[in-house]
Amino acid sequence: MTSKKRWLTCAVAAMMTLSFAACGTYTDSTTVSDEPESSASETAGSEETPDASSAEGEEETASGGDSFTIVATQPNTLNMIQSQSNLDNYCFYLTQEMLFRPYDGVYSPEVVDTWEVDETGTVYTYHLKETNWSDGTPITADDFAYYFLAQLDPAMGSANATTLITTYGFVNAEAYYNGECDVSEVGIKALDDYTLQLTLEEPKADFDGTNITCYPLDADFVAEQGEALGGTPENYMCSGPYVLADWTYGSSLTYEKNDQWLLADEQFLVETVTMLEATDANTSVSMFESGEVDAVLSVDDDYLSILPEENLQYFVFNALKAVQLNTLGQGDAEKIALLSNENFRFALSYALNREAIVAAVTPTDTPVNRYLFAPMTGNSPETLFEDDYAVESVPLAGDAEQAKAYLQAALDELGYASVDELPALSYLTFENEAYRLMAETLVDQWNQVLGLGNITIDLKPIPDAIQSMMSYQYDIYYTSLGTGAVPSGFFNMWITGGSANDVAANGSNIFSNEEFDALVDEAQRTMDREDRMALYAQAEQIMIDESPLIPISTSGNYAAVASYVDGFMYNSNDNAIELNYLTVNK
Amino acid sequence: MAKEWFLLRKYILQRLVISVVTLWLIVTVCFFLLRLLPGNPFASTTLMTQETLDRMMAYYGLDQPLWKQYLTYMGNLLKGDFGYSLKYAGRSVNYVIASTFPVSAQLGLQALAFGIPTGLLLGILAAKLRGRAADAGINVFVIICTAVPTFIIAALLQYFLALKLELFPVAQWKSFAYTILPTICLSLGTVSGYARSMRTLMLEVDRQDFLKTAKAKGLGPARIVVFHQIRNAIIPMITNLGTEIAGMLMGSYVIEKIFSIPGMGAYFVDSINGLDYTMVMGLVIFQAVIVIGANFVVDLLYGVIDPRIRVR
Repeated sequence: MTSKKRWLTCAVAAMMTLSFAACGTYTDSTTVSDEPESSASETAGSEETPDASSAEGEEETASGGDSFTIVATQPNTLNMIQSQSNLDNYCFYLTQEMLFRPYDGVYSPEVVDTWEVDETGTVYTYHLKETNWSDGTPITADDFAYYFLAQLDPAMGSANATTLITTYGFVNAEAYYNGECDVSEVGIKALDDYTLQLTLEEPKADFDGTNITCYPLDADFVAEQGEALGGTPENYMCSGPYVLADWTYGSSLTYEKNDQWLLADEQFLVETVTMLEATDANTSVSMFESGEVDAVLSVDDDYLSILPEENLQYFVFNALKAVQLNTLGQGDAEKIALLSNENFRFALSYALNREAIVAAVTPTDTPVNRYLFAPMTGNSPETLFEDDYAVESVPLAGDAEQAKAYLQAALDELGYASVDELPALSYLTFENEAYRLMAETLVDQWNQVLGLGNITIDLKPIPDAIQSMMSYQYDIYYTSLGTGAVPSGFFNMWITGGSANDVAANGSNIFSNEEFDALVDEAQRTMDREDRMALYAQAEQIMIDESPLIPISTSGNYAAVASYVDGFMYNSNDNAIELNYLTVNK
Repeated sequence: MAKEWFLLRKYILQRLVISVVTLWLIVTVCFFLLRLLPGNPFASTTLMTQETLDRMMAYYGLDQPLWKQYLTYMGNLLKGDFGYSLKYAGRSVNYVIASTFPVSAQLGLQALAFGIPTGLLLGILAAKLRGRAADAGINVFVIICTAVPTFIIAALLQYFLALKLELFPVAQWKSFAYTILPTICLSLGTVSGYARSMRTLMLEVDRQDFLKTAKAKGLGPARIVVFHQIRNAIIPMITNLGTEIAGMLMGSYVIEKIFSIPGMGAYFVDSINGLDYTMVMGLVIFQAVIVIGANFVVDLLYGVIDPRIRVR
């Protein structure tokens, strides 16, 4: 018995040893914020001796702090030719020079020293400053030209050519993309090492010569890297405020300040920026609360009430969430008549209480009843389009009585005695929690308000759902669309033959209105800003009245930012986390 | 002895041939099944025109006949090239595996190193203290580990041990301190599984005649438990060890996501959701190699542990 007890005691001791061998006070030196001794003392030191610091006179450089750590989703790729994601641009913005750098929606010259436009409004000539890649080799106008040319090159596998062609309309860009002309014939040219010339087919009113996102890209480096381009820091060239020092997939990106950058003494003063992968929502918030990170770019709805209000910053995205009706009815005449019926569409729209839906399902969104909303600017860069131009649309809270009246009108027009006779409709959406919940809520409201029991939800994995949408195999589809920084970005998707309208590119438009097309076309050629915006406002009203796109909300986001951080900025028009004037005063 | 070596070599050779055939079958079936799934790797929530989509498909050779794509893939595979991700341009599948597998493997091995001995120990204790409070306590612990989802236990550990007591960091993967919480969470399933099985097997062995013989020979209790009871109880548990090791080495999506660990787990889920053909194929083949290899090693271990199972 004694022996048995001794053996058991040994076993328990061994297990305890195993369990707690690694435990103890957490004192890892690599942690960002659990080292109050070092960071606090450094800060305290600098604060306590301002005179001593200033005594160093002109040699002193501005400081934004030693480090800034933020939880944000990682880029998909740093291949600047094949990149399609806004997330990639977060990295490009921090690590590349730009002709003009946007900050909070306003573009300022960076590499461009001076620039002029000819009297036709189509030839833009940019004179560049001398600047270098982070390895010290000079950046030339060729590098900026190649950034666009590579995306237009059909051999490079870029999905961005169509957008470039539509947005800027460079001379022969489309022909080059289609393999019909030589690169030398494209209106993107380096006249010499420091002169870049962009020639447009015709003046683009929404392009003022500065609002262009253009980074340098070294053609030789691209050729040397081949398929590996942009996969790791070693396969990526930096030229901007920061150098990408490390990229651990699924974990973190570390940016070190690039002292060679043109404006290194004025902007992006924080020495090291670390972006941690946005993982579990609870983990992100716990890391913020424990001080392991200084900010979380996107706080999950469920955790907003936990965090102090003063730490939350709201950002609105230029993204529309809307219900889209397939007016082609999958070839079924009965469905075509129903889904194209204006009264039926209004009935669906008026039945929805957008305020209640958004509050319940996507509380960080903002309910909308139109297409051009904040942050879309209006008559001037300082005003919002939605403030400058009101529209006649459905009330945000909906109107159940009006919805029923519209439905009755639709039934009368289409010859149905009751809603029970309506054809079955499928609501196609993504197979994930957020989209499923939205689908259930919308279908439930249509059922409660209008008595529509003919709508079934068709959940599919994202690739499958998108393929179904692109082949028009749906009746109702819940879509999310970027609205762009200027109205033409969104409206061009909805003109006859537009990319969101005629997704199969075979002439099967779900919306076609000649007046709308003409207004959008005219607006894009109207150089006077106020006149242009007035035309866009008319186009928007036509879309509200006629198009099968029922707006629900615009995406929004709460970021959590520590109280010792100043100058944190995110702007969805610029697709960037803008740390230009960020200071960390830990 | 020479005959034994000859038989062993023959056995190993047979297993190798079977392994290669198995691997080829997995590659082939997986390749064609993936292509049968609706959708394409370039569909995302960002709208892409049909023309652009067609160009992308052509750029990556996905517009070619399936047999041609298969031959190209197999040709590259024979050279050890898994190709580049279709979803994450610039990331070679080989590089993804090389950079994430060590992380997942470390986490998995730590979890096994902690989980198996702890589970065995708890099982032995529960068996030896059968019917007492300790046995009941261990049973309750095992049920909790089995019934409560890992993500809840992880969240609780994060809250109490990291956020409140500040004993560990909440997440990330930087040093040993960062590995402790995820290791504990990942090992709980192993602990409970091994504890439950070991208790049952120990009780079964306890009734065997050879234990009575050992006692009659005057052996001490510790010697009987270690050299007779445990050794005999442990043999059936080795059966699942190969699959379990392989599973643990390949990472855990939930644990890696919760603790922000740069392992392989997330790639499995994301690449399947995104129909990233090359990534899915690479990961499946790599996992198949690990599973086949681990089972092979375990089969050889059988012979070492139990002479009755040796090749004859």
